[in-house]
Amino acid sequence: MMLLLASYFFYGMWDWRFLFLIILSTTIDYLCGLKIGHCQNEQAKKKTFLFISIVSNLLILGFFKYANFFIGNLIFFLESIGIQANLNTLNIILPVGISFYTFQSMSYTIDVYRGELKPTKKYFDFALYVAFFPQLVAGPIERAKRLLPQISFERKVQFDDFTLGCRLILWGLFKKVVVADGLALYVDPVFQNVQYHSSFTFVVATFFFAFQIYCDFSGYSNIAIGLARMMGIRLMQNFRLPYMASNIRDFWSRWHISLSTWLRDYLYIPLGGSRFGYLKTCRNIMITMLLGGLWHGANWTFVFWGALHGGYVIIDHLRGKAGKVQGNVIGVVTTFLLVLVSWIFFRANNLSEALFIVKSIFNPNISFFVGAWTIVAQGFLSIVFIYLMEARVKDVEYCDVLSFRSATMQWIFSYLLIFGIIFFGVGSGEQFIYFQF
Amino acid sequence: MRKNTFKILLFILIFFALDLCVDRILSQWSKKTNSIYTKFLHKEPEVVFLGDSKLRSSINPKVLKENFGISSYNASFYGTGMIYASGMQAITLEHYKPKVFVLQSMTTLTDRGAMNALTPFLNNPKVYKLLDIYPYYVALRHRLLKSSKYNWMLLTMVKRLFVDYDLFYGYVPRYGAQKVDRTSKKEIPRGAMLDFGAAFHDYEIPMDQLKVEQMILDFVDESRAYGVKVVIVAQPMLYGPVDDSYYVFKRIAEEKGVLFLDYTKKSNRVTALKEKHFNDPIHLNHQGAKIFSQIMGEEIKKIIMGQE
Repeated sequence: MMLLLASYFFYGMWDWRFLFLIILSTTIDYLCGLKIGHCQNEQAKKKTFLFISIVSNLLILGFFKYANFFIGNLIFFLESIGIQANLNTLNIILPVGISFYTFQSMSYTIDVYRGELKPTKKYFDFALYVAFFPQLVAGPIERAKRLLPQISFERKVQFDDFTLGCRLILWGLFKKVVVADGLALYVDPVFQNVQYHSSFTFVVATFFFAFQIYCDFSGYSNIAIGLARMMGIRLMQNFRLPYMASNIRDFWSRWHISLSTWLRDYLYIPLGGSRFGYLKTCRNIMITMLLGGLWHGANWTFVFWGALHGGYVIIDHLRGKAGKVQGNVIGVVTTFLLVLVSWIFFRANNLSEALFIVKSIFNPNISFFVGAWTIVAQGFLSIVFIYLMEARVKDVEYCDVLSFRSATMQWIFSYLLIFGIIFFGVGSGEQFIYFQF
Repeated sequence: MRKNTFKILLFILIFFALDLCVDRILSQWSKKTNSIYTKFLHKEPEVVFLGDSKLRSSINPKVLKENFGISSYNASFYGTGMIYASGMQAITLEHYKPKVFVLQSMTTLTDRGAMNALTPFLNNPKVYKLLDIYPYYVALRHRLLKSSKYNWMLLTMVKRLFVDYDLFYGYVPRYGAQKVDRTSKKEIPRGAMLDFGAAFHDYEIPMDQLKVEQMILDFVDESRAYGVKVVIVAQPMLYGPVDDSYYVFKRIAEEKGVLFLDYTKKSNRVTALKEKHFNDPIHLNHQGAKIFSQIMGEEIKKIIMGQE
């Protein structure tokens, strides 16, 4: 109960009005879960309650996140065919973390429907599962079968859990305020003023953005996982050195794991997965990736980003069938380059700017925007540092970079990270990129 | 349980001990590498230039020395405002009395470089008071973590090991002419290439207009109390409107009877400066600096001789 109140307080501090929304979503899914559990032998009723749960969640998500996108595009479409549309976009505030908690809540009712999970009778436990503050606003998107039992049973905080939590938080904080926010100092001016920059600058800015978004998001995940672990709750790993992936499917098994497995289990497989022939597999991959792109935000750049990754995965699928999947350095480099190209679309303000950047990159120009050399130098050095630190522990759970055999080494590196944050941390209060999703 | 509690307490204790040690070491290092400390204050130049990056790249003290026999130091620092100028005034007057302070008409809206530039001088009570203007969390962090005031200073300090800033008495030349938009061949709008607002993090703070005005008034009064003349200079610019601070400085200069040297496009005072003399719309390049230093040298010579 304490944790639930803390979670609601934390969320309410952003905007208390949206507490009602999260409580509404929680209550609907809790009741639907119970009803589905009660009518195990009545398939039609089960389906009805599942339908209510999914539709209500999607309606909430659709209204708050996509209404303006669809209205805007409808107006554009009607006007392009000569019809004067008398429509206005709505003044809607996007609730923080809505994509995360609706997906998490929805997975519960689907699991109950599938018989993989027994519905909980404890409302407050379920409410905490939906609103658990460390991962409420940017994941990892937890599954009920993993998180609910941990909430329901009595926990005892262990010293080892506590210290592991502290280590993860420290590493996450370092990645966020030193690396991600440091790189943003270069990336933001370039992507905000694309018309004044040229090829080499875009290459560096895109390279920096790839690590900015990785450190921003995985840094948040580290903090969330660490915070939960300090309280004795184990959250799932969300990243596993994604830029060391040897092919694009490998990348998706390492990047935002909680979302990619969610999309796989609740969208790709129900669509048929790879069971019904080549063409349908390609269709299912593309639908999954397109919706995965759209999940990130109501903008065509995200849709294109999803489509690009869909294309990559399909090609990879074909190559896999032909036994041509690279598992070596060439594969890692190629995958990284492909992902870099996709980040241009993810980061650009709109599609035309993204295309301008792509065109500029292929139109070489030696002029390079430095701005402040300390920012560029810190950017490159910090990327090398995080790479070396994480590659060292690639097989350790959660990439706990401070897991040394010697306690002295652990302390030395902990102090190094703390002083790194003090000396090189950006304290401008940049919010996490994934909060907007 | 006891053992674990002891471990945590020991970790915290060592951290604070390290923090103190690191602060002491960096404090010594920054004084050694800080050009203002090592060169300027000990050489006691007659004229001290105080401004931001615009003045920093446009006044070459070597020209003043060679052509007019005036010793000067360009103590301008990028991204600064009146906090920095007031702090430097206090630091200078603590050491010696220059003949003239040349104060640039700087932005009165924000200040983002003062903390970095003035960090080595925090033991000066006035500087300490000036920096207290920062938000509570910055002040709290500084009190709690002594070494936190070196945030982003460390890289600059490392850079100073390799780059001699005093080569030109504080002046930092810029090379190359103004850039143009590659696609439309238009001039780059002011601010587009300079959008590094966040680079100085939480040290970039919006300024209270009334407080800034009071700072300018105090600057003039305190300088006069020490017998130091003050000149306010509005920098040449290639195009674009002058910002609000121009009018604030101009008004105060009129009120206090301070010489206001207006070199903005508005005044049409500098005809010798052409587009090729600008590195960007608001910064002169090294050729422009040579011309502008000559112009300023003539004015300062008159001031020192008591003709103005």
